[in-house]
Amino acid sequence: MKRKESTFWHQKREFVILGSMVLLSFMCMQLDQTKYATLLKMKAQHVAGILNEGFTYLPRLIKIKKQNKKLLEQVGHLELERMTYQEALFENKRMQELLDFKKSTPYLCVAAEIVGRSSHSTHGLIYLNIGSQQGCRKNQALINDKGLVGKILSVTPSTAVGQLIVDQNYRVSAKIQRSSAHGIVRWLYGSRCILEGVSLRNDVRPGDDVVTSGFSDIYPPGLPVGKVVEVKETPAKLFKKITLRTNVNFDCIEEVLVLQSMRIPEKNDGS
Amino acid sequence: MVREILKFFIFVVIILIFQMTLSSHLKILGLFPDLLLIFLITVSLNQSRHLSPVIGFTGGLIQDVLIGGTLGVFALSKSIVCYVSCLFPTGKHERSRPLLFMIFFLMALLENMVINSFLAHESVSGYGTLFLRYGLPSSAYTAMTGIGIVLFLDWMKNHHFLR
Repeated sequence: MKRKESTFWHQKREFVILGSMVLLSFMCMQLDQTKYATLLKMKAQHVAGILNEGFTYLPRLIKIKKQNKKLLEQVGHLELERMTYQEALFENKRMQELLDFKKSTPYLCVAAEIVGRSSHSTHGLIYLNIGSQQGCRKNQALINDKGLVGKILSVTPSTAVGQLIVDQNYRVSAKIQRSSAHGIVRWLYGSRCILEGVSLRNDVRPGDDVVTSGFSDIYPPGLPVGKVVEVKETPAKLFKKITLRTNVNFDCIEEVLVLQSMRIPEKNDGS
Repeated sequence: MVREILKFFIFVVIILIFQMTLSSHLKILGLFPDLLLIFLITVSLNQSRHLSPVIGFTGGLIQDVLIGGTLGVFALSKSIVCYVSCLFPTGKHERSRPLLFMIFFLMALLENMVINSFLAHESVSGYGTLFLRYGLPSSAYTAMTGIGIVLFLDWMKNHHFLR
């Protein structure tokens, strides 16, 4: 009997196993909606999600690298575009300030753009985009809304070379606005100048405004030049050593006004 | 034996995760190859006939749990498929590559039929539509992928990349 059973098992076991698996599958289907089966599936899917994350790491990394390259290119283009707009915005602002100053100043002025600069650090030379055709002449003053910038050194029909205060060969007659102490301004270094020839008995204090004296055919009186930052008195010497800082930031100027006439135009009353 | 079972479990999980991850890359006209089926058939063909339903059931049940469908559907379909695949001539030398392709194709078709018999009543498309639109093409895709993998493994063996 036992042998018969054994023979039956050997002959039919594959069907028995298959049947069992099918039966188990149906039992699983019946158990599908139970709490435990749902919990088991949730846990398994959580683990699968973590593993999935690990598997997708490398493809995502490659994708991110490609995206990053593309985005960097886009950022570069946008940055260039932004810089162009920003430049236009600043130019607009500067022009507006210059225009306002031009309207407020009583002298006849013409605006000029600085198209080049001297490459030498002690030569404060600038190249302007206007020349004799626009009414520029040698020794005309260059100003902006902050004050005196320099003067025209030479002129061609369409361009002009300007000399800034911060040039080693530049001199301008100036005075302390508060006490009217006169002297000669010359460049020292950076944006610093010295006011020479002010005698010891003159009253000069740090913070005093220095303006053009008017003893010149080039500059009208009262143009701001700078502010006194240091006053040194040495008893053995005749003059004070006055250091001033220019009002104009020469590293940043891009436009200037050329003072074409020192005469204040008379108002036309229509008569 | 325990080591073999453990290795089998790990392989099944890796293949399923791999399939889930790469489904978007392997997708052609909305069809995916069933990589787990290929693996289970390959394992079953190298095992005895009475063990193959157990292999199919275990693999299918893991798939059910991980994918989150109705528990037991893949277990049932893969048990049947693995058993039926063993009815074909066994032995490495007897199985030519075209025969292996036929086995993959027919087994994928059989699995689709079993699964569709459960899904067809829930779907607005009828059984025939599901079979023609998805069953046949995806079975062909699975068979082609399967034979591709086998040929690749053969090439690796011939070039001594695999022992």
